[in-house]
Amino acid sequence: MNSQKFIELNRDTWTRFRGILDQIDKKGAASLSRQDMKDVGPLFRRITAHLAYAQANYPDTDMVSYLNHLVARAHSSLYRTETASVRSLLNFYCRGFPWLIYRYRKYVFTASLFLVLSVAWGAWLNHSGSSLAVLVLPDEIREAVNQNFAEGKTGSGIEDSLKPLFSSAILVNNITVSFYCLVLGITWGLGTVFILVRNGLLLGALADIFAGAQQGLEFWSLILPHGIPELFAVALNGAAGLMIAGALVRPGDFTRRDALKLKAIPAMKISMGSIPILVAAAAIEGFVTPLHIPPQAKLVFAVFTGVLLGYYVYSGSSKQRKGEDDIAGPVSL
Amino acid sequence: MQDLSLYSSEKIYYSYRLSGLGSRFIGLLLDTLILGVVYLVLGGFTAAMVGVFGDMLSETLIIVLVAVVLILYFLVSFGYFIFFETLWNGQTPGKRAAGLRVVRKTGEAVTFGNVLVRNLMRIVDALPAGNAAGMIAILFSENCQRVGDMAADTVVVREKNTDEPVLIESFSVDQEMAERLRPAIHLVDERDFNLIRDFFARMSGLRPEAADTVAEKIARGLAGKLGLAKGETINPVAFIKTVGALYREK
Repeated sequence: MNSQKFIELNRDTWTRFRGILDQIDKKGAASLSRQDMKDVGPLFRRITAHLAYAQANYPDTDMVSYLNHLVARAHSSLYRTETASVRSLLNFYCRGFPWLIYRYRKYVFTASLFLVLSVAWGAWLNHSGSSLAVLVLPDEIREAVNQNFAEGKTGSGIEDSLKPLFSSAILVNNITVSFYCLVLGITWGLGTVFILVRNGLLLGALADIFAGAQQGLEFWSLILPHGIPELFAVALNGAAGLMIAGALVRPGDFTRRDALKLKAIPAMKISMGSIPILVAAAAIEGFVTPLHIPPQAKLVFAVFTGVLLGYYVYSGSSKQRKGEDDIAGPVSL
Repeated sequence: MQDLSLYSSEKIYYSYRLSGLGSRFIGLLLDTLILGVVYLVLGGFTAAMVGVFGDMLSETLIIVLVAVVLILYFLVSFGYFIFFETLWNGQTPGKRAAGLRVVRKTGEAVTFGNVLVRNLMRIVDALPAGNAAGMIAILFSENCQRVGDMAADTVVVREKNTDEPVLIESFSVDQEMAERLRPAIHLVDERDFNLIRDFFARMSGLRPEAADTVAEKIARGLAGKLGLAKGETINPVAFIKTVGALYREK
């Protein structure tokens, strides 16, 4: 068959298929008519056969590049493994996310360890009056805090009208810090650990100052209600950064590049999953922390958030024990 | 211009045309312009609200407004690429206008995970300034990938619509010449026919003198192939038409 006949014979098929592809691009696959939906697979296979035939019999013609274009375009619209939808998002938060945290708990523990140790270190540095304490907590902040003590203020009184602004500013800051925590994992973890330790030191030093001023209870009641979800989210992002770092430092049987690809997606998912936790933390920090209620009530609230988060992560482990491997869906590459 | 050749599950080879630095720059430029307009509208809206209704609104409301705008700004700047690349199967408005699409290196559609990874990694690609890391990576990596693409295992391909293959209409044929050529027509192959078809498809766009020169060249080659005696005078265009028509009927 010469190419003229070949084109004449099949041109309608190609035009129709191209129309279907255009429609998928513009209005989505769901808008296809029943008949089109039924035909799209067979049409695609027929066109791949045409491409193979054209490649063999009419090489280097514009028909081959036309058919190749059709096949390539269709391939990237027809072959997909996962689509994002509200349902998959719900599924992710109900099952996939806790399961991910449980699965990569070693990293979460390590990141938390960095945080906790650096809190202790910061407190100790400040307590022992080490000259390094200046690096942890600049003198200006120290003086500002001390002056507030002298005036009898402890920072619990944010003006009511400013609360929403305060809350959203904190949120933007926290999410940015978290992203850096994650992305800096690519510096073989140095950047991630730096951010974790810096935040831990700051917290530890502040806690020691407050404890020294006999304000320990007050301080923890200010920090913990939002601090527990916030620190948890930071630890998660630290874990995600460490996962990326781990892939680079110790790729195992893979090349560094392949190990990075394997770990990057679950790491990003953990990081993205932590965003609602940060949102909650910021809301608490803006609206609950500054409330004028007894510190004990705030601590009870803090314990409550802790228990809630603990249960959430625990639910991930129980899913695994039941052997529901398929909930790993969102993790699959 | 670089191609990525793939072997599909239908057992055929097909290829994507990878997009280089230039076309990706155009896509990014368009997206940046769109984002800029959104920021302007957001900022302008806030300023206008505060400016016009400032007296009527309570202070709390203004602050709430600013807080909401701050969050919106953040959502837009991080979410724009993620949102569109997920919803439009690897395209953003800028990419669509520039004829680009993000696909997985295996030729499949991108997943939400891929989109997330490649767009969060923009932070790395932007290092140290002016997207330098990303540009260097695109120039020197095997498949024109930036760092985000490597981590997400995606490539950016060009998706310019190619024209449908042309058909040549039936020609009025010089019967006498046709009878003479018919026995030798099997010597003309698909490559020659493709040349003839391309010539007639483009002839209308050529200057007449140029068209004549090209026609003469093609006719000379065909005449040699068909074994016409040298020195025979023929009208090149009519000759090519005859050969084309004969091959077409074959």
